[in-house]
Amino acid sequence: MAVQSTTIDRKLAERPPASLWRDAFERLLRNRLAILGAVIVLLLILLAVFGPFITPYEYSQTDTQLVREARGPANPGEAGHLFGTDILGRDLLSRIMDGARISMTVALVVQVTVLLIGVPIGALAGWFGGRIDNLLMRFTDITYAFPDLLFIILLTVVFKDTWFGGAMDGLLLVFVAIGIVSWVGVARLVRGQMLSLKETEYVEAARAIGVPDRKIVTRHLLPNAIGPIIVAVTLGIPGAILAEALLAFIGIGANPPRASWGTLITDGQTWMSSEPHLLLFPAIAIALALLSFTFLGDGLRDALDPKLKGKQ
Amino acid sequence: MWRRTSLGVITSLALVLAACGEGGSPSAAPASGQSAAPTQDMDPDQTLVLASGATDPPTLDPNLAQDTSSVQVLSSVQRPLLWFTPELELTTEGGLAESYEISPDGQTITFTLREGIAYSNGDPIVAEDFVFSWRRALDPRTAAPYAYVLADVVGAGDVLDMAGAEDPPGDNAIEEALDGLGLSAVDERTFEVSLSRPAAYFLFVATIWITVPIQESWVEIGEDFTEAENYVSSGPFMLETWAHDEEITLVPNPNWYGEAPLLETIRLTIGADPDGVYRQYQNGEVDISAVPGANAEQVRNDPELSAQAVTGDVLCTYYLGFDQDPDDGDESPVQNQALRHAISQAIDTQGLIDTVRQGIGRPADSFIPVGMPGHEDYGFGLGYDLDAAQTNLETALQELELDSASDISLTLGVNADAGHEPIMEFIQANLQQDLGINVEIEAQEWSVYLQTLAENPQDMYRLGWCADYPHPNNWLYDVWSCDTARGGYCNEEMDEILAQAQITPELEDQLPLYEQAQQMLVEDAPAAWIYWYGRFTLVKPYVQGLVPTAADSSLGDMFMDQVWISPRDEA
Amino acid sequence: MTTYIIRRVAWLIPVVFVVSVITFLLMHAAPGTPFQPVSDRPLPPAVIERLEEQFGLNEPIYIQYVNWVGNILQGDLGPSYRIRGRGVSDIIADNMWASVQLGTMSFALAVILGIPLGVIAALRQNKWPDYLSTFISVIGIATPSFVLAVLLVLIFSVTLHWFPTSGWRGPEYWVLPVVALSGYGIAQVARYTRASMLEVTRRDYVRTAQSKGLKERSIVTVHMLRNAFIPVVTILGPLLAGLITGSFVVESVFAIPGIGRFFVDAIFQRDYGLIMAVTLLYAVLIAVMNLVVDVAYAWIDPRIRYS
Repeated sequence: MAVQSTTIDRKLAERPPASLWRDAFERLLRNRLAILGAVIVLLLILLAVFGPFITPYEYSQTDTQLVREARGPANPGEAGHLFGTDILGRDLLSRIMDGARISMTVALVVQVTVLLIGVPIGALAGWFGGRIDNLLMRFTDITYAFPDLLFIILLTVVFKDTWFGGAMDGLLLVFVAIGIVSWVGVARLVRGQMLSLKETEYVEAARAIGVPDRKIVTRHLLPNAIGPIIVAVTLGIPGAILAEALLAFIGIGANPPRASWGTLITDGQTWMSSEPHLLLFPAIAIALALLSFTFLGDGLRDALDPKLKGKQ
Repeated sequence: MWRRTSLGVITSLALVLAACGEGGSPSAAPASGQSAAPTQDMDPDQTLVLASGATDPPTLDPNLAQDTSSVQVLSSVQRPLLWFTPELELTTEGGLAESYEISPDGQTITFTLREGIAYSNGDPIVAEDFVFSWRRALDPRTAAPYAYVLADVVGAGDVLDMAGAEDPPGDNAIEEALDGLGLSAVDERTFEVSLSRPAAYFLFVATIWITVPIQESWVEIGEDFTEAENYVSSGPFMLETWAHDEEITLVPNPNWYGEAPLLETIRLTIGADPDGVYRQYQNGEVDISAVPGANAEQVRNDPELSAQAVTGDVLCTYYLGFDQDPDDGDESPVQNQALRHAISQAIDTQGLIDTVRQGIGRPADSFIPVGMPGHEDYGFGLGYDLDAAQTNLETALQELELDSASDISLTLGVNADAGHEPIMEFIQANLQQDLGINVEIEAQEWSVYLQTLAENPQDMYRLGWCADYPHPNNWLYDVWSCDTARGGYCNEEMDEILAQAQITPELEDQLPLYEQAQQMLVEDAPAAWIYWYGRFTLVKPYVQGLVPTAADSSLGDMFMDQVWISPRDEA
Repeated sequence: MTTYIIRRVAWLIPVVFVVSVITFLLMHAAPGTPFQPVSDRPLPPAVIERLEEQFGLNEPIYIQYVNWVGNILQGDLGPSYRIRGRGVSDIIADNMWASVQLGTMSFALAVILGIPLGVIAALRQNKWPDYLSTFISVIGIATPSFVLAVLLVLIFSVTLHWFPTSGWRGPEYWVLPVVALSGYGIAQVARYTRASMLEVTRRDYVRTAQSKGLKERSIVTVHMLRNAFIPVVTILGPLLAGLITGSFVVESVFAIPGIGRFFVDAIFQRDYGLIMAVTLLYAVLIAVMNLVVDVAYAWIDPRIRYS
């Protein structure tokens, strides 16, 4: 199914210039917020890829002397640290830049996992209905009925000592675990859309003239369902980043001295009243990422909606 | 007591009570034994509100309790045979024994109970209750974590061995072994303990919460005998309510033999973590709170808050153990003594206190902390010394036949919570940046970490130790003897010295032996000593008569009967 | 419809069975034992073995499972492995109520604020109400609940002294936790409502209705809301279930004796009995919520037919 949906993309993309994708792109360009979001997302991605080459300091580089003199973490702007330092004298800006890597990877890994599992299952269930729907939905129920935290914690503990558990300072396992518990929403959403759409006149018409099921689903239903899927994925990225932060709060995350934004926020939270910059900057970083993904997602949604064609 | 050392935020024993900053601490009365009970100037509401733990105390069964929040309650609602003075000397004052006598061979201790003492339910406290309690604590079916403190009682060794036997013995065999214990109630008021050797420190055992008297009929109530409605207290307070996960309230025990407590109620609120407790304190919801490290500097700079601070030493040591055991499946470079010395000398412990710990605690250079008998500034500690560390590192490299420090990679184990990670990161940075050896931190959740420690610890692992009773035996023998040490450490010569100290009657004669043992321990370096805990706790100004002592599980809990509240609005 | 519901309820049994088997296996596969103390002093292995024997943890795993199922069928959730002397049913009964209260109130707040925000945003798309609504929901989503919770305490308790910092003893204790917990829910409901409303606005029948000159308000209420709710309902069920089963973060920060933090503690402490019981509870709750959602689907959108 995964392969199928990429073929759709390609097929749609290969359509003549007048196609809805080009219109969509033009509409997207007119949406200033979405463009702002896209730019920031792009910057974050660049930061994630090239960050380590441009950070002012190594993220794990400590400076005890500085902390001693400052009688605490250095404040923003002090001693060449734009965002200040933490209690070990580590440059907060560098740590946030490194954290961008982690958060961008969360976004990617979790959402890819979610889409790969959720969309096919939702589409199949919604379209075929009956026994297949029942079967898939019970599978969904089982997954959903699992308490997420239990599943993630146990999974990370059980597989911690495997190669998979060690990948990316232990984070890959956590991300995939988040993905595995997060796809159900998308699946149910897609199914709901399918259930609703397949009763519409144009589907009935397509059926009547003998268009094969597969074509109806991929050509008509999925593109029609894409708005909600994009909204779900957009909301899913902040959700995934936040899930990572929550796990960091509970104590499951990267091996130190690696720190995700979630870890930085968790640590910063204890300093909230005395050294607010330790919370403020990572929180702004997260908020910025979430905002830009949201704006971009919104813009995409408005732009991609085929029914908007010709409007505005 | 081994606590889940949450960096001194859960505080422990304080010996030195020093006022923070200038002006002194109005709230902490000088350690004076008995307070002069004030008749006027008392607030009409004599309720003290304290923070219990972040979770419900796991048990109030005295034989089973082992953590801070349980012991905090037990200190007030139960009493053992002996008690302490605020200066940590043993005394019968405040204990249930009126006197005790040690036989000339040092192997029999006879306790005489006070006359007319009774439980909160009105029943008399009799010697038989001590026999029952101690026997129950040792019974392998009870599975009491602290049973080992009674190991010197005649026959206790056999019983403890039973707990670890491959084929679990049947009930009959257990009963038989328990009948053989050297515990007897000669009459209602005479409790006799026979020891398998003249263990000089054993009187201290009679101060630990697991040795309080327990009525057989109380435990027979069933599983819920520790609930408030069934709870039987032998201490100055009794359990009035226990709303699980919310609040415990204590009220004076009318049958307490001593002077009645001045407080009408102690409320212990459950659920807040250390940061939360501090916020509760700021909002006037609790009367005592430790200061989180992140707020330490803020409090010092605040004239009002700093006047409420109580500081002092805490009898806990934070250390980094080395896995020297060649038999647990891996060969670690830390089996090399020179490397262990190099690591110890490369850790900037003062820097750690100044930065990560925000000035709370002291850098450690040996195991027994400041404030303990047996602690002195002996001068044989390794200390922070980068030049010496380099020299030792070179020796180690030669002995290990390695070319450079970067050939050494070590794992550093830590439980993933409670702010231990910054300390590990600090140490990691020291070792990597100054020695050039690779250190990888392995943060594990608590139960996995404990299992790792039991089976195959990391090359270096974090642990803390707090006093169960203020005697060096509880430190050197209970932690580092061949029988007890983890990480495969065993120095038979040191064990002999410790055994000698155990049967040396007077503390002053024991101390030179303990000094010798500590010197060996420092030289052997089975661990790098990181820091000794410190107290930095705020107490509302209207809390009067608080006596922080050496056996506190939380500030002042040994003498809660002397605390009172002066008018809140005046404070 | 009735047959459908009965069949779905019957399906609960295999769902719960599979969930319990997987949880049981995974839980026992995780290293650690429920008997490790919370203190720094590990229990002697002999003591742990003794305890494991007492609780039957030395039996083969399938026997343990069978025993557990046997007990459950007799209505016995078993003992807590870690908290001696307290049964699992006691613990759940003691802690469930606070979580249910907190969850229900937060859910109500999320719906009461979230839906109007979403509707207004959709009706005034790309105008300031839309931006304001988006801004509010982004704040809701962008602030991790533990930051929001602590921030609220620092402002409204520590500084202004309006509310207590923690506890769950009465209405004044409810305010901050409910606000902290519903932040994310408000945002989510608002966003889904907005997206869904926009979707519906473009449908032919709405345009038809518009062209017929009916007043905008009646179009909104009669035609749009009903249809717009379909995707929103999808998230409401899980949202309610998630809120009711407790929030570890909010319950921790506000020291609320709820099931959420108990559950997380239980997982970390390997309190097998408690883990299984809460998992079951959670599974049943989620399954019921899902059923409710599906029924609500059919009710809102008559075109959906269940057979």
